[in-house]
Amino acid sequence: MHSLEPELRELGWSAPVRPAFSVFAELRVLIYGAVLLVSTGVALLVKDNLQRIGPLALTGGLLLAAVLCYAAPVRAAMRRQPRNLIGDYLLLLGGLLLSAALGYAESQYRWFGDFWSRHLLLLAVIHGCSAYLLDSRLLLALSLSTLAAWVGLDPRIGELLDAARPPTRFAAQAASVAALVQLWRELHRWLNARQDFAATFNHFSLNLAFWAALTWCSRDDSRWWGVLVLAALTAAALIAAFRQRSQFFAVYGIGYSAAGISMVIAGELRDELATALSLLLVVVTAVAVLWHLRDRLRNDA
Amino acid sequence: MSRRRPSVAEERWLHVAARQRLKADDPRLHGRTGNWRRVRGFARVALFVGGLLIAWLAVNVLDLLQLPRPLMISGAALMLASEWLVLGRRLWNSGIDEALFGAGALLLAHDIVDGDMLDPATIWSWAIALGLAGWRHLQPLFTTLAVMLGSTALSLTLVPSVFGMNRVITMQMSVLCFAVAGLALLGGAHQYRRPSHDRMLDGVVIALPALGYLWAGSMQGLVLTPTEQSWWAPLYLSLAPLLFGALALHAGLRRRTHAPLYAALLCLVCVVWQLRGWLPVDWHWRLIIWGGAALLVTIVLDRWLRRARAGITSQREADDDAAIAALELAGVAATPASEPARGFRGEGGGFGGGGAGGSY
Repeated sequence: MHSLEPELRELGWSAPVRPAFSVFAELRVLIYGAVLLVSTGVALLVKDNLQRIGPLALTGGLLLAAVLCYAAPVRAAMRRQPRNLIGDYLLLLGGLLLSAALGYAESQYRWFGDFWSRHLLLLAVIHGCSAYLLDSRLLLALSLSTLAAWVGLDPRIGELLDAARPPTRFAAQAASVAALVQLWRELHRWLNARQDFAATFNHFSLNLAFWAALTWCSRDDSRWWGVLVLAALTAAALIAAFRQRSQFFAVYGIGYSAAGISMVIAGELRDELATALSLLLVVVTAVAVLWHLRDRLRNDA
Repeated sequence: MSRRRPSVAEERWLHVAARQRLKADDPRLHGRTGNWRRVRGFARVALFVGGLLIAWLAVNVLDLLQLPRPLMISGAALMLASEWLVLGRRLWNSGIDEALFGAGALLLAHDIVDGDMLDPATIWSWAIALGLAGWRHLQPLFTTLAVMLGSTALSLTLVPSVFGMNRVITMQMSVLCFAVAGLALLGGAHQYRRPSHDRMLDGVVIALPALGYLWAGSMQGLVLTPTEQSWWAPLYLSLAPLLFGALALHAGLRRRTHAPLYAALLCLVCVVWQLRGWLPVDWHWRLIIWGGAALLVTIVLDRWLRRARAGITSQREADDDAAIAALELAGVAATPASEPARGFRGEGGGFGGGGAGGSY
């Protein structure tokens, strides 16, 4: 154990030096694990019982479970009561169960025919509307990831390394989703929505846009276009870092640009020693720049 | 003012500054932090990764230059660079200084011993190198890894080959891990002046019980034939984490510290995994039941502790909005998309998808 009480008292801190001990973080870990277990279990249940249980019963069961999860947070919202940690994660579980139910139902009944993936767009809209109505960042994140799935984005390593799937297609999809999310963010700002979703929009779109740029940088035929996009994104990330005094955006800007430059060097240089030396120089520079930026951002002591 | 590392008082003020989010130039910190500079959070992780990359590239460059003993030269250079950052630039626990020193010490140790990866001397040398790096930088990750590697090195010293492992050795290692974790738990009751000493014990309290379970559980299953299993092994595997978890829970609640509570959660996972056979249902039902039970427990605890009871509450302490938003995104993106084996595969991606991943 250690206590910083004497130093805090010396600072003359007005807040109580020994506030109640919060187990919020532990409960968050527990409930995230619970949601992960239930959603994985449901995914396996759907997979293993396609024929045995029957589509109607399975869809009905999943929808009922989703409604049960939504019930308490919706009731709290209707009574204008603040939602707590449990409510947040119940909403996420409800959203996941709803996705599983609609996805499974679509696979069975083929409501959209050949355009079956539109059910993902429908889900993105439902989760997005629920996020605004219930003021939930977790549902917004679910909506954004479902939107990305509708566009066809698959960030699994196996898919990225799949030779049959052209990387430029991944890049185009990632860039499209990033652009869509930025558009959504602008609309959100224009409408002056009261929900505090800016950070979620920014993290999601910036990461996707950087992935797209890195994919272009890794290809001979799109390398220089990738470098241009990477430079623009790095500038945007650094501006955001200074405006919001955020370490996250500084790390995104420097980390992704170092990765992109390394890809270009590895692709352009043929000599092993020159490549290794250049990469070393890039990483050392990136670390030095990040340190310098962090010093200027002064987020820490 | 200490030159080699922050003095106890300076370290305590650095922690106060971090806890209260004071800027480095805050007048209240003037003369109290010894001008030491520290990086926390995401930037520290990024700088740590950068340091590891620099170490890897430095070894590659020296290897390509065909210099003699590239590991020793790069190891020494990295440690010197780290010392320059600490002594010259007064960086402390900033990611880069720790990574350079840790990687340098490992490279140097590996060069000195120059053995196979599974050679006990090699693993001892890694454990000692990480222990020294942990001591120099008061770094809990390094000290915890050193203790974990130490248990592996000890087992390989007792049995020269990993294929020669038997139940007795794995059980001894398991008991040793639980015992060391128990001692660390006991040691946690002491009031430490240096917060970093407390964190070092925290690392051992969290990691060692899980390693103890792995020694007696999975690793035993890996190297033994089923006929060698004894009746008491499953009993031990259930009772040891259960007992340690209960003790850790009690200690965490009594002392108001987080590390024993995380250790208790990990022990709970070990117990549930060990008793998985008690639920004679399919895997998906097991997962749903476990998840449902965890959900129920969280709901009950959250409601019960909404108003502080005995000084414990479920309300959040502080809020780092950007960090939480990033964590939430990562968490949702990592949720599984259901993939039935049969049916057609469409064009939807697998990005989260929330169970509607498009592979039907």
